[in-house]
Order: sequence, then C-alpha cells, then structure tokens
Amino acid sequence: MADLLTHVLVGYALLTVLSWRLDWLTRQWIAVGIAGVAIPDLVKVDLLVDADRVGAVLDIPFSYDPIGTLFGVLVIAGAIALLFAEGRRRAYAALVAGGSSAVLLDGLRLYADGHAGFWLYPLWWRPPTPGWYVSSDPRVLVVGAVIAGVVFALD
Amino acid sequence: MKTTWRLGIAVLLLLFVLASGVHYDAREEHHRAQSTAEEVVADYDRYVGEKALLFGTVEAIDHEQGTATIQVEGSSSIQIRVSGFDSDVSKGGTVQVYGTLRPDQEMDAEKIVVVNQDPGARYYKYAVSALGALVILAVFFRDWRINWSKLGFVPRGDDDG
Repeated sequence: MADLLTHVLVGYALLTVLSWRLDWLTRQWIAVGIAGVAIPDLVKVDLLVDADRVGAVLDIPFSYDPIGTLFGVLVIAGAIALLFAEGRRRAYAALVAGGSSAVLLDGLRLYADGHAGFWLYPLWWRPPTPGWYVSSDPRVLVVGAVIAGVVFALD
Repeated sequence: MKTTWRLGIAVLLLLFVLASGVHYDAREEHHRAQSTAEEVVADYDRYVGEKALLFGTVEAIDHEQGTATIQVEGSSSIQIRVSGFDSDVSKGGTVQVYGTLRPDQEMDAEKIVVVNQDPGARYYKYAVSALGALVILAVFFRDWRINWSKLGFVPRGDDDG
C-alpha cells in the first residue's frame, strides 16, 4: 500500500475539499477522517502477530487481508465510531471517507498482472489497476504533498 | 446508547473482521486466476506449466544472463530461478514476478515489478509510515480527548472536563 504519510496527505486533501460542500465537516471531523485513513494500514498488525502463526496455532485458515478492503473499512469504522461519546454518525461518515480514500489509493498500485488485490471483498474480483506507482517510490509522497499543499492554499 | 453496549458491539465488530479473515484465507486461492505463493511453495511440481504471480525477495541476480534467484514465502519457503529478469533491483530487494512455472523451480517471467529496489526501500516505507502515524495521532488529539468517565472520545473544550 502507499505509505501512511501519503495516505494522510491525500486523505486530508479529499476531506478538506468535501468540507467546502458539507457544513458539518469542520476541522475536528476532518481530524477523525484523517484517523480513518489508517484503517487499511491495520493489516500491518501481521508484523506483530503473524497471520500464518495464528492459523497454525488455531489450525484454521487465517489472513488479515479483509482489513485492507472496503468491507474492512466499513466494519472497523463502525467499531471506532462506537468509541465516540457523541456524534457517532458523523464519526462513522468521516472514518469511512478517510478509510475508503486509502483503499482506493492502494487500488492504483502497480501489479505485475495488471490487477489489484480483492479490495471489493466479499466480491471476489481483482479490479484492474492503472498501475500508477509502487509504494517505495518517494515521488508518491511528493505528489501527495503537492496535492495537500494546493488544497491547503485554496482552503 | 449505554457504554457497555457501545464497547461490546465495537469488540464484536472487530471480531467479525477477524473472523472474515478465516473465510478470506479459505476461499482466496479458489478465486485467483493464477497460482498463489502458498500453493506453489507447498507443492511446486503440481503447478509446472501454469501461470503464477509471486512475490519474492531477491537472493542473487545476474544482469548479464538476465536471471535472478528469488525466495518465495508460503508456510515454508522455496527458491526460484527467474529468467527474463531485466529489472534494476539489488540483492535483498523485493519483486513481483508474473510468468510461467517451469520444472526444477525455474520460472519464465513475462512481467516483473520492483516492489522494493533494495532493503533500504523497505525501511523508507516503514519510516515514512511511522511518521504518518505520528501525524495522525497529533492531528486527532489536537481536537479530541478521551473522557474516561464516559469511556469515549469527546471534543476538546468540552465543558464537563
């Protein structure tokens, strides 16, 4: 996936543009949306608790991959929204907006066979990708920063 | 909504996502057009002649010959010698290889994508992502805090402290 900082910059830009249309989307809710951007990155929990190890110990097939899908964003955003004392619907909308932007951005990465991962799970379809970048390319971060900078200047 | 219900449902939703991980892993291979690393590593000879999309770490590379040896992980790992390897990547880098599996763990590559050009590229991603995580925490907690009596996030500047 694109690095988390690029996700944050692109997510910030998207949410700020949306805030020009949606009165309720104030700075504090944009902040919630930016937190939502991190949801698909939670697949990285695999680095701490290896999915193969969990599957071997419990003797079940197991993967963290659904976390990085649109389905994962919708469900995890629900869990996080419930952690808000009030304004849970707005929190959910902001978290989903942020998380979805990250999933969509990841769907634009380069894959050797031209198709991305199953980010529309439980639809078993690997959408075609325009293959615009690999995550380790520093130019991705530069583009993200430029987009965020332009939006910031226009805000 | 009562706090215990809120938090209980939040936990259930997280468990639901983890449970979907069982379904996902059980069904994924069935829905992939090409062989996956898991299948290939477990039983290479069965997939000879078929197309595969594999991720691997570069163990060795011979630019003159246009070949490279990659290590592919599944529940164990195997080494595959890839020909048609024309990419600029160092030992320790990571690649995606799409191509046809041949006998004796050799592979004819149709397309190669360099995921990490060298180990440094991986560290770059981790470092920048860690920075992203810090930015998220700073941005969020600038406007929100945890109210421990309500057990939830509340906006800063909320009157009931």
